Order: sequence, then structure tokens, then C-alpha cells
Amino acid sequence: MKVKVRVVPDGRHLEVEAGVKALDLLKLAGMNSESGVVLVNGRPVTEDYRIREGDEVTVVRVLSGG
Amino acid sequence: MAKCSICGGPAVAYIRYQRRYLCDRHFVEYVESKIRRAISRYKMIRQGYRVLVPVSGGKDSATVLTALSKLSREFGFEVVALHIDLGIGDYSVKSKEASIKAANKLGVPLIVVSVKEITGYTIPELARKARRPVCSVCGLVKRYIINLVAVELGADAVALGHNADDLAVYSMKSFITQDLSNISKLGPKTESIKGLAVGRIRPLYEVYEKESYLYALLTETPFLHEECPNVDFSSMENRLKVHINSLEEEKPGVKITMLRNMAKRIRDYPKPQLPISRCRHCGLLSSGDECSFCRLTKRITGQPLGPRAREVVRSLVASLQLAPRQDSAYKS
Repeated sequence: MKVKVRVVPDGRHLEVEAGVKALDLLKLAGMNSESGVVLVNGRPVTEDYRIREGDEVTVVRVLSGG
Repeated sequence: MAKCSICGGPAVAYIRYQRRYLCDRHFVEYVESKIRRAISRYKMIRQGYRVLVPVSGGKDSATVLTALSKLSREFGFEVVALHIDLGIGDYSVKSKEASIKAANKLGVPLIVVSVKEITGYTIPELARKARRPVCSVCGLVKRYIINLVAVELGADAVALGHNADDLAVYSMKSFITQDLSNISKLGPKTESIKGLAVGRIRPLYEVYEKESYLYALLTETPFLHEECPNVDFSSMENRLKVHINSLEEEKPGVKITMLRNMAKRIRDYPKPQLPISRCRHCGLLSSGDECSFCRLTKRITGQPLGPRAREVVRSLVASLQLAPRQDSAYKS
């Protein structure tokens, strides 16, 4: 089952399989554990969280451009 | 789901360099303990200080404002916030809105200074007229207004939102370009120059950028998630940020080690050799007889606008009706 992911701030959308780990999701979005955060239903999750069907997922790039 | 290493509640963050998970409550306490420790370790704030916090509407200044407003009770100091309306379209409208909401939520007095009100132009207009890059004009104007407000407020320190990632990257860039005197300005604090400039402190000196984001989010401090439209993601700073964070993932703690050692060795770097003098127009810090703000505005409008800026800021400060300051650090 696919889960939709919104990438902030660039506005991209990704689709991933349920069960993927948050850390892998960050890598898919071109980030790592330091430069991005995964929010599920608006709350941050740790890198080993596995995305579930029905989760509202956002990947946020936390490094600002200065 | 991972559990908090302290209380066993659901974890929201993994602190890689400490190998521990934290829940939302313990994460917030952890960031505040880092800020508290930095304030004490680097002697940033003393009891009775008036601290000016410039807020851009972004996550880092939101974090500084929330943390300092909480710690002000413990340390016995006063916090005043400043937002500068740069006039950068929709971005500035939203930034101002977020800053006002944050200050209201925390009950911190806020001064809003409009660049257009002082100069007659927005930052993009000033940059076009001066034929200079927007970010360079923006930086110059912001530095001037922040110092001006701090002086007029009788503030003892200006608390900037630079986080550990920012400072690691600025020092790496300065090292690469061998602008070593710039590194001497990147420590946890700079001193006041009596009568001319208020010293700056960096409470987020040891707080990682990701931690700053999570803190602002978890404390529900209003902040703007958007970036300024003028940000250049291909700049050397932004490329270095990606590299240092790849290294941090492989070698957890490398940023903290770098910054702690930099703080110890900050005096070993050469200091800038610019003379310190007073601008003949506005009376504030200058390296010659005219400060860069008065020079820029004179070139664009025919008049140095420092004196007008002082007038506008004085009346904004007076409208806050704060207790008068007799013995602040900047005064001679």
C-alpha cells in the first residue's frame, strides 16, 4: 500500500510503500538524520519509525538558508 | 515505537551523539538545559540584564525567544523582542505575523521597526537603487537597526538566533577563504563597546539546527516554515551545511566538539583591524567618520538616514513604557 509524503519547504510530493523507515524516507527526499525531520500527523517521529497506511506524512528540511 | 530513555514515553527524537531517545517533554528540557549551560559557561547574561531578542519569524529566533523568556525568571533578566519589517513581499507579511503571535503568546514586549517607514524604501528597492545584492543590503540594514534598538533600549546584550550548524559553517567558510579575523567574531559572545554598540550573545551556540526546529515545534511557538525568497541554496554556506551534516551523521558530536574548541581558542584568532569610531551623522558605531547605514542611505536618498532612524526607534521604545535603565553595559 502506498503512502503519500509531502516535502517541505520545496512542496514536492513522494509516494512510498507502507513499512518504510523514517530514516530511509529522509534519504529518499535527499536529506539525512541531521538535515531533516519526519512528521507523522504533525508530530515528529524517530528515525526507526515505520510509516503506516493512513499516516499523514511530511518530511521537513530543517536547515535554513541563512 | 522507540521509547524515551528517561521516562519510557513515546520518543520524538534520537540524540545521536548521546545515544538516547527523548519524549517531547524531556526533549524540551534537554534543549533548555543546553541553553542554560551555554549562558552560564560563556557568561552570556547576568542578573538584571535587559536582553534584546531580534525575531525574524523563523524557527531559530522563535526558539531563542521562548527559551529566554522561560529562563528569564530563573536568571532574573528582562527580555524585549524586536521584529524588522523588511518589506520582502508576502514573506515579510507572514514573518511579521508569526513574530507578533510568538511575542504575544509569551507575553514579551515587542518592537516592530519598518525599513520602509525609516528609509521610504523596502529592502529589495534599496538593493536595486544601490545596485548591490539584496542579502548584502539586508544584512547591513538589519545589523544597524538591531544595534540601534539595543542602544536606545539600554539593552545589555542582543541574543542572536545563530545555531551550532550556522556557526560551524561560518567558521569553515572563513577558514576556507582564510578570513581568519572573521572567526574571532563567531564565538558565544562579543563584548559591548561603550556608547556605540551592544554586545551579542548566541544562546543556541551548542544547539543543533534540527534541535532548534524541534524545540520551536514542540513548544508550539508560532514560526514561519517558509524560507526568504532571496535565499541562494547553492551558496558556499549552504553547501557546507550539507557536508558538515553528512559528517555529523557518520561522526556524531563533531559539530559540538568543533564549537567547544573554537570557543576555547577564539582569542587565538586575529581581531579585525578596523578602527572604532563614531558616525558623524547618527553617533553610532562606525569604522570611519560615517557608518555604512548613513553612507548607503545618503547615496540612495541624498540624506544620511541614521538620525531619522534614531528618532523613529526612540519613539517606538518610549511607547513600550519600560523601566528606565541607568547602568546598562553599553553606556559609558
